[in-house]
Amino acid sequence: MDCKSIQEKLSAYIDNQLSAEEKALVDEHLKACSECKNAFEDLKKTIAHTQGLEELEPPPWLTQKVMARVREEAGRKKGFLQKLFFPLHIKVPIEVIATLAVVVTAFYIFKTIEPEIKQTASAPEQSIAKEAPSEAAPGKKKRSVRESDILTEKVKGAVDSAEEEIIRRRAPEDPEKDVKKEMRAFAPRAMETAEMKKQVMSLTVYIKDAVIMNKEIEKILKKLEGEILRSESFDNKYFFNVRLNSNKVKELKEKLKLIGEVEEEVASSAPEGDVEINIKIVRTGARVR
Amino acid sequence: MSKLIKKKLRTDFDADYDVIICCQKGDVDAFEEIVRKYQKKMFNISYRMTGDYTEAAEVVQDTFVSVYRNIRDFKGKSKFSTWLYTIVVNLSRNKLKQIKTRAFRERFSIDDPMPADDGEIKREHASNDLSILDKLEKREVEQKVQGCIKSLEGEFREVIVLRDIQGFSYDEISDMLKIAKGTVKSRLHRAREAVRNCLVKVVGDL
Repeated sequence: MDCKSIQEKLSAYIDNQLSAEEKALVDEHLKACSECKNAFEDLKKTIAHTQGLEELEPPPWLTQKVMARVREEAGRKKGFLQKLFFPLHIKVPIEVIATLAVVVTAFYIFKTIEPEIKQTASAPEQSIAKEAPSEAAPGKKKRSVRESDILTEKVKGAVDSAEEEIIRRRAPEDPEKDVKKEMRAFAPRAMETAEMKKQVMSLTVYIKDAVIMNKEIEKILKKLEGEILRSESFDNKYFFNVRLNSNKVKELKEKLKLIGEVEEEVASSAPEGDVEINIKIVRTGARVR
Repeated sequence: MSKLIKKKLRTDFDADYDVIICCQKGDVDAFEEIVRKYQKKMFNISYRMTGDYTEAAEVVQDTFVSVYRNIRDFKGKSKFSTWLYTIVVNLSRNKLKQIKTRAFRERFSIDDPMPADDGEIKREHASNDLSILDKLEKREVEQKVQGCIKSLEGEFREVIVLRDIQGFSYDEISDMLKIAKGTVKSRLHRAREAVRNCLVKVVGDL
């Protein structure tokens, strides 16, 4: 065997890691080869130096510090486990109570938001009915829904006042159904009324014969190109809700004056364009209080 | 733990068996016994591998905490001490990488002559027969040897520390480092050769 191979085996040779045959080979070679023998000696000295390194003492605080950390670790584990695994007879009732609390809370929340749910369900219905004829783009629809929301409020306000009026005017025998019909029909009008509040005039005409007056007024309005929006009658009174051009109003008043005594409620603002007029016809002897 | 493993533990590793069982049951005080028994050897392994006293102390702490955390996983397949030392070797290896990276960043060369930081460390006085001069000379040589070991690459450093400094067998080293016995042999030889060459340069005559 050559020196290189021998020298490579020297470490194992020193540590007794070679097979019997290999050991014998090295023994033989070392007896003859001084170079390898030197290498062998050098290796032994090196190992001796390394083995000669003194063992150091660890710092005196090491045990203490280790145990402190270990105890901390043990404490954490215990606490965590305790939290997870309460004895069952404590854990289960807690869970039951917690579940009940969640259920009750959910129930109350639902109860609170239920009317809101209903409201949002009905409002779209109204707005949808109104917007159906006009094919609106989605963006526009949003706006119109919002508009109708605002209008719905106005309608409500107008409807409320109209409702009161109708109930006052209606004969007791009249079925409630009709009142409701009027209400619904009145709703869009009331909306217009709400919008055009400024332009509504009120006239009261006192006459002897109200029945004749009724027909006369219809004639007059037709002549003046006015539009009868609504008419009602009960007891000794007749009501007309009329749309007329503002320049014809004067003429109307004059014509009415020919028939009977005309009382005019103060108009809120100078009318422009079409005006809405409420005409109340009262049979004399039965003045409105 | 199964009965079979318990039996194996009992027959092979009587020394640590009882303590291990206690620790697995959560007995923290029993663990202290293990700490006191093994800390010195563990510390020295780490110190020789990392070359740093403070870092070695930290590694030992981390090792023990890791052992405590995982003690229930110890199944008795190997000796408890082997398991312990394997962990300390691995953590030392990691620590060494950290130190090297840090040193590189700080542009400090590991091959520079080592500062005499060992000067204040308490040492076991192996022999009181040596004169003061001899002791000083010995100290100096030791520092140079340590320096040479430090200059080795990680894997070579490991084998020389475990074999020549700590005296583990080839089999034990093979277990700990998870390498074949043949690899241990060749690596060890190359490590020793490297130390020898280094010593010749710094000490002169061996």
